[in-house]
Amino acid sequence: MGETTVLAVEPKQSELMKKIKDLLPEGGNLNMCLACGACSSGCPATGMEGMDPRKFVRLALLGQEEVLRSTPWVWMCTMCRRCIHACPMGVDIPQLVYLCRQTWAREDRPKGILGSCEQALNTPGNSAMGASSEDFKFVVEDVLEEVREGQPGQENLVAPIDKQGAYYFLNQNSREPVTEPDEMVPLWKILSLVGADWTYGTKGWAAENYCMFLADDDAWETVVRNKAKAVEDLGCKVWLNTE
Amino acid sequence: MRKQYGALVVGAGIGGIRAALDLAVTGHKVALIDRRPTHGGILSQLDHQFPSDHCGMCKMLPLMSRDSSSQFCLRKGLFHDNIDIMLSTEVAELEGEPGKFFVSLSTKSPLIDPTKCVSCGKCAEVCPVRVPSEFNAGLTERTAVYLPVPHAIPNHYVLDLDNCQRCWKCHDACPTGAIDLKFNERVDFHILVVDRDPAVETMLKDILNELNFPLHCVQTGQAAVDMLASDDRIRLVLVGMNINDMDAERVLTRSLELNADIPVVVMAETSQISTAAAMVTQGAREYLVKPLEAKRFVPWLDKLYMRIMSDTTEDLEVGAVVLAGGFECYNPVVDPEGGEDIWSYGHPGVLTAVEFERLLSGTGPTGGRLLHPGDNSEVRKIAWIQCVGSRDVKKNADFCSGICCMFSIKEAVLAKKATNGAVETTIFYMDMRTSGKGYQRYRNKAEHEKGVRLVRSRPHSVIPVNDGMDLKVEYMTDAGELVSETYDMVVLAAGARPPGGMEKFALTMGLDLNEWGFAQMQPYASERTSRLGVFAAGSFGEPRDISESVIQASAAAQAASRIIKVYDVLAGIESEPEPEYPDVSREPPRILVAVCTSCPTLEQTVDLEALSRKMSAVHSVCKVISVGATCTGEGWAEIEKGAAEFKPNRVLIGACMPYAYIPRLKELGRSIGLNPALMDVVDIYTPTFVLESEGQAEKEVFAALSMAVARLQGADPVPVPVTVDVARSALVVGGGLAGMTASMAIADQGYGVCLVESEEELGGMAMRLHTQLDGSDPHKFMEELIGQVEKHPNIKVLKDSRVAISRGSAGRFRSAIAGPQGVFPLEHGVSILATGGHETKVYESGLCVHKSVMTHLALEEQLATGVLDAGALTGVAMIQCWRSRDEDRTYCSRVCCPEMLKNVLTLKKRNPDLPIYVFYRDIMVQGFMETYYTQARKAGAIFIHYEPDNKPKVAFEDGKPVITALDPVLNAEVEIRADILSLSSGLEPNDVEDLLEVFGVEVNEDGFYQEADFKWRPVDFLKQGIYMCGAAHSPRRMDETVASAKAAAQRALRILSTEKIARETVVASVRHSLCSLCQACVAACPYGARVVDLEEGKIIVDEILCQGCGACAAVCPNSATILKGFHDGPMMSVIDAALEQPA
Repeated sequence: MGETTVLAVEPKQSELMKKIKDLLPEGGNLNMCLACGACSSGCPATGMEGMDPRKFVRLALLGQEEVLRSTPWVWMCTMCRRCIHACPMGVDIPQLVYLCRQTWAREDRPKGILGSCEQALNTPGNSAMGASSEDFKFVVEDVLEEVREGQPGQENLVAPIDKQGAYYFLNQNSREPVTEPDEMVPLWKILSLVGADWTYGTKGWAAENYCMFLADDDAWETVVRNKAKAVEDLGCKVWLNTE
Repeated sequence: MRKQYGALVVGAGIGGIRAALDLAVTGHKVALIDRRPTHGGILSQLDHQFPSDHCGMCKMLPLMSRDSSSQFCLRKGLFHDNIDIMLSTEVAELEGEPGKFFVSLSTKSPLIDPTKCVSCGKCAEVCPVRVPSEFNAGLTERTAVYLPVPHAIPNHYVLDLDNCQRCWKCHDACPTGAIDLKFNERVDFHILVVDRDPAVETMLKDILNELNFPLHCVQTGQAAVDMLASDDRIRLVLVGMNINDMDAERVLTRSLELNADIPVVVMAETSQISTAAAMVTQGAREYLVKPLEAKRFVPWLDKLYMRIMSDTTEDLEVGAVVLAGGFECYNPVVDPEGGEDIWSYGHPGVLTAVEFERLLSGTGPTGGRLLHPGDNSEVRKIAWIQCVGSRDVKKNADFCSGICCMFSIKEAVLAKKATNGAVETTIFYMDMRTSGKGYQRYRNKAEHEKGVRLVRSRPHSVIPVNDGMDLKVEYMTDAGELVSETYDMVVLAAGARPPGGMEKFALTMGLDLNEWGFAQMQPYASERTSRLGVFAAGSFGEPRDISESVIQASAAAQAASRIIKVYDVLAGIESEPEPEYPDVSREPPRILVAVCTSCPTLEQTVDLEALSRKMSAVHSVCKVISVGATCTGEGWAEIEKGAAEFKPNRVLIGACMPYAYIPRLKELGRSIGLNPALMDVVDIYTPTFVLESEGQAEKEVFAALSMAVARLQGADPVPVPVTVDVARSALVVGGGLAGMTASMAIADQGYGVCLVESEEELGGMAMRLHTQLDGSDPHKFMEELIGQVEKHPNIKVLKDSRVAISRGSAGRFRSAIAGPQGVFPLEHGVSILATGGHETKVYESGLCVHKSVMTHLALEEQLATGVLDAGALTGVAMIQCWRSRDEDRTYCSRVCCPEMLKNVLTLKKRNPDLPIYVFYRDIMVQGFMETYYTQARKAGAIFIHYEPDNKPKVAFEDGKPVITALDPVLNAEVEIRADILSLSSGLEPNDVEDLLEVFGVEVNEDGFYQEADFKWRPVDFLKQGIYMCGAAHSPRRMDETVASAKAAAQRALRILSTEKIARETVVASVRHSLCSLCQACVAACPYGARVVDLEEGKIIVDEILCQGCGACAAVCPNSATILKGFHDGPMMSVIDAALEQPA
């Protein structure tokens, strides 16, 4: 047992919490919390900044608004949803965290996430790495050629770009073309093996969306709409996002 | 002609058995059915139950008229003169109304004739099929022809047709021809096929040629109908959905009109499945999807043929129906939410609680050794995870399964015991629900004496690590630390689910279900379903532990017998006269010995001819006959013939599994006019397994038989039974909910009741309740009940009165009641003590000092009467377990958590924004009560856990309470300012010291009445004829109190329903001239049947209480105590016979 911090908490009514509960379907089930600890025992961010999901929900229920608004822990959450997956009461901790992120002024939000979102907004491919569509096209074609030549049996491998009317539109996390281009190949091979009719695009091709992690709803929507338009423009039936 | 029964009991687990026995012993005929091929329910798989950590199920067997039922291990078998047990049987139809239900039962044939099967096991030896064994919860495999449980008596093989490969090897291997697969009848099984597709005809002709079924193919519906009308040999119709002249539905309807029993199977295209499925609800047997492939079609048709030919139906008329289908355990595999993934179920080290129980069983896969199913290594570290599939709204389980907490503690204790304490045991829980009688003590003992570790924390998941060798469990401590531990075994406390097929069953029975798929029960009558005359026993209505299931079963039996009585006033009164047997005590013994020769091992090890010769030479043996397979009908007929021919006055049978013969001996007794007490069956099969030296088996078999001969020689001629004339009325002490309910139950059966209440008014503690969580009105209910009791012609209510003295024994007590009008005497057959309890008085935390502090009951009252305006409040605090579960009171009061929730929900309903804080240790809301806890949280109440060594501190500012306590989640002090502090004060039993003296009964260490056995005889006192119910038994909510009162009444009716109680054949007596009054026997008697009468200087035996166990005779130093039928003389002869060498 650690030392007991004698910190007096006086429960309060919190405007923020009222707003959050109104916003979420079923109030995000936040009230339902049994404080069992299943969320915290499975959370990769447990212990960071002296916080864990169970504690965070508890503070929320006791109306400790200033902690909710100020703890940098909300930015440690990876939005993996392991907590709600195991929660017997379906307490929507990820949504609580998301809405608490929104209480932060945009400029105070973590530089890395903010920067990645800005990059995505500024490139037609929505790449958080800022990779241009030309570079993406070049890397894909280059890697494809290498595989066709260097790997026996892969002479007919394809990695189409902007193929009008393909069935699947495939997004690609921009980390691979920029830093680990060879890691794109296995998926190409799988798609080829199953005979899928697919294509990359030069627009809206990046799979990641840091604007979501930034909790910037408008920017998130802009990015998603841009990608959806790219899918529609090529007349694809299914949008495959590998994130 | 429909067979008539008082009641049909569906489900032969403990609930069903208890209900059936309760009805049977009060004279009702009972049909007891179960869809499984075995009786005993889930308990057939469980060897140990807390708090004894043994079994003890046999304690449910009747204590009186013991000869009418089995008196051996109840898990092995059950019989009773008034109970017909039908296994592999389900209800197909229920029509009619209370008092006169018409029931159709359908029974799946085991395909092995039990009157021919000798359980030799040769069929299983040759069976090539291996499927997971249900009995061992999948930890071992079984064959398709198998014994459903290894310990049943009699135990016959059954054929699981669904998994059969149709190799017919078992049929060929069976030495007695017990396996009947209807080979010869195939040529008479005409099949009519209606289909337009010629390919179907060709294929069927091809296939059916091989199977020998005569086939008739037609292309039109009209032709089919004409054929059915003209040819009565048709036994099966296959109808395609492609015929032109009429649609398939029409063919189905017409076929059923022509022959209501004809099986019609629909052959559909994939696109027609929904229509085909609809036809099944219209009466088609099933549907097949085209194209038909021989590989699947042939086995299907063959099995269908065997089912049609072998399965049977039976129609009954019953007065009432009792449902005791129990529950099923949540299965992580079939959970669409991925319960399997989270808990790594499928890893050999991850077991469910039932699987673990099988692992610890002597009949389990490891013979009871705690070995890892993966690699058979010793298990060193086990974690239990509670609430798997319970208390989980995502799995539609907003209920507590009610059994798992104690189940897991018991398993941890058993694991410790199995390993001499070596194994490390940890239980991860959310709330440890120890709210039953003695549960908190059991938990404390497990934790503090046995070293079971309890951790309040729910792990996220179970993850295999170290190449799958270990299982990683991570959990949060209260200090906010994440702890990672590895275990080599994890046990999932999988919760309860409605029994499989519940929806269909509910449709058949006409029942409403609740939102979780269990039967919907009625307020204040937890045995009543939505259909009149259909009752729920055991855990059918709500998951319950054994003790409460048994109480619930007796309550259901009481309700059923009431219905039976209403519609048939003579029911249960007529009983078959006891057959009279000639007195043979003056004849020299002539013993017929029948030796069963069918056991294969017997023939191999024993020279049967020599044995017969030797036995013939034993004194008083008049004849030895050899019988082939006594366990078969044919073999038994040989014995009957022998008995008729040689006219013996004793019969001895040497066979296997002697218990199985008891009912048959009675029949034999009737047919040849010989008292069954002069017959015996000895086990000559088991000695053949002991082969230490040449000829040893033969010696043992001889000894076993000659010992039995000696015993039969000395068998006492049966005396005229001493009988007690029953005073057919009851004394009920306590006029609260329990006492009044019990009084009504007895009075409604036509017996007089004297209800004695010490207060000036009836009603007791329940009168303080104003509302209930389920929305029902307790006041109205109580007022009506009081009105009924006071007006009942059979009930005499004495208020302001006490029982001054009570003497006598079951069937005839004489008591004196002191009241305002003086003392008057009362004769009665039974006594029921329902003396209730009261709210604990507390003078702490400002209670009785500050107006702002009150108990939950007082808060309920203030809210109900409008004294308190919820809208004007700004904050409410509540503290649970304020005076329960501490050193003074080591038990959970059970009623306080629901009471608290009731107040929370009332306050929140009136003032939704009112902050409410509840400090608690464990929220104790079992079963469907859980949903109110969920609602309370949903409504915004905040629940803060505290540990008993750090209770919330209460101070006052301006008369208003300020509560400070540690919030374990934040690891910080929280400070609550409230207008009102409401305390759970707990429940104490009323002071009954004078009554203990008067009735000669006991209380436990907490002051609640001490029952004969917590699980199996929960409302009986050890002293027969006296019963307990209500809060004097244990803290109970209203519906639980009602159930216990009905159960106590039903137990009492056992005595009231007979005119005389006869003495049992085996009871102890004292030869006073030899008795030194050492009283060793008084201490040794487990039934409290002995007292010392100091004035007379005698040990007195209560012949009704005595169960003939012989413990007294064993401790008596000078043979003053003797057991009828087991005198020294005959016992010495038996010992001599055991040691005697064959002549």
